[in-house]
Amino acid sequence: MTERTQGAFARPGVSPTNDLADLADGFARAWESRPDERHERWFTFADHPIRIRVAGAGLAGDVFRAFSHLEREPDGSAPALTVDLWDEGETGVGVEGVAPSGDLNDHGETYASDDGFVVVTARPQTRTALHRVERRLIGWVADHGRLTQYELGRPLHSELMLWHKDRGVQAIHAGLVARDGQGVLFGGPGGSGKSTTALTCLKAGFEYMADDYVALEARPDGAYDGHSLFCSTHLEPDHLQKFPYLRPHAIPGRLPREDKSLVLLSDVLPNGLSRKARIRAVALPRVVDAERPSVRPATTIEALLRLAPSSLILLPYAGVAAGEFEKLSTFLENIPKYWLELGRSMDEIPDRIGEILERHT
Amino acid sequence: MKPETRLGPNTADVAAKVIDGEAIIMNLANGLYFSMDEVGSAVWEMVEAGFSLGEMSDRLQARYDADRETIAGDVNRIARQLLDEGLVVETEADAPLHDGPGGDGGRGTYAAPTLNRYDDMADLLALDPPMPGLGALPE
Repeated sequence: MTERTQGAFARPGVSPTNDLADLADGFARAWESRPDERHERWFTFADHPIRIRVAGAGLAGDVFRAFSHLEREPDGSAPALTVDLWDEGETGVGVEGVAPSGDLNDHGETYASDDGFVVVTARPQTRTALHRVERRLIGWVADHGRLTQYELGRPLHSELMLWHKDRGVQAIHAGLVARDGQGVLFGGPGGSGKSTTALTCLKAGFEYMADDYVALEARPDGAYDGHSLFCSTHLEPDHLQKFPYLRPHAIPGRLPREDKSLVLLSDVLPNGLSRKARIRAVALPRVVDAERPSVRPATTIEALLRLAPSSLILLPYAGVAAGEFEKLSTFLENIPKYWLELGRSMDEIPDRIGEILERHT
Repeated sequence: MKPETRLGPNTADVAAKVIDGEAIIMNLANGLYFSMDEVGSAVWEMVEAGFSLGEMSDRLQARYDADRETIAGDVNRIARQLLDEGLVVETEADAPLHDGPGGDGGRGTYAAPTLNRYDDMADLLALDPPMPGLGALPE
């Protein structure tokens, strides 16, 4: 399989490099002119130090909350990525030609420079430019109060996936929980039970990394680590009813089409969140007609059929490189795999996950 | 299709893998994905190796206890399905790229190859089209 070229991203009449320069100028002006709105924190993404600076207190609060479990103290290390964001509404600083656009859908448009180094993503309320070589991400937000639930729960999602991919870390559609740093990864399409499993395990005392997106890293010794990206979960109304401990923290959608509730788990069980785990097994949740959950072995092809489509087809950037499919296949060929058949009772799900871990740690 | 027709994976849009005698084939352009079991996975490996349809039939006849006419008909049918789904393209090559899949030495029980089609990702993909991949950064 060949990877598509940057040409597929080309958009006549636009210059990603100029957009990057304009956004950099805008951020510099916002940062300089509004010292009262400056906020800076450091985070750990896939073991790398990341610095995020935000001009605008409201925007800073929204962005930092989704990554709060990944926060770290600066230790003098150079950042592997610098993220600079500002809110035009809060700072009063705009950029000529950059304005909210009702023509874009929530996922926006992405275009890249001819060399592929600069990638611009335009969404209705935001515009970002990532320089993949300089490892700098700059973003404008029109009004943080109009960000979608998706943007609040998973800020800079596609941009961070590309950054991870450039570091050899594959963002996949999966959940991950652990005990003592030893993890079970949950794979499957939406509605298969990843969130149910992960959130039930979180409540039972497991370390929680994710219920939807995990950054998968192959270690030189052949082991695999799973890194957390966001501390958010998005739940359908009936799904939320299954988790009374989350209901007080549910944030309803702001837009009519947002029927899910967003829960930032750092608000609920901050001590239950973790940055990463060594992956010891894969479980493939699926709902069956049974009372109690059970576990049985799965084949590599079954696991690939559950994990690969939603990981590779739907995730931005990750889907078209042959290497990504090959990496996921290699991972699944080299790790124990199980079907996790979810019955009507959720109570014993953590027991089944614990049993899998006991077999493989 | 003619026995001398050669197919190759549609590398622009398709990712595929054969593991333990089963194949998974993903069309990343439209979100459809497919699986094929033993005989089908052997066909896919021969597609990747650049076999002609006639050469595929020869190889399958040597490996399985089925008559030539049945096998050739099945190969033609599955090749047409792969083409219709955009998973393969016709090539101009005049010889295989390599020897293709090896057999286990015995003659297995033949089962007509089936292309299992999954469309649960396609609707989601229509709502959220994938972004083309970006090239690797220079070292």
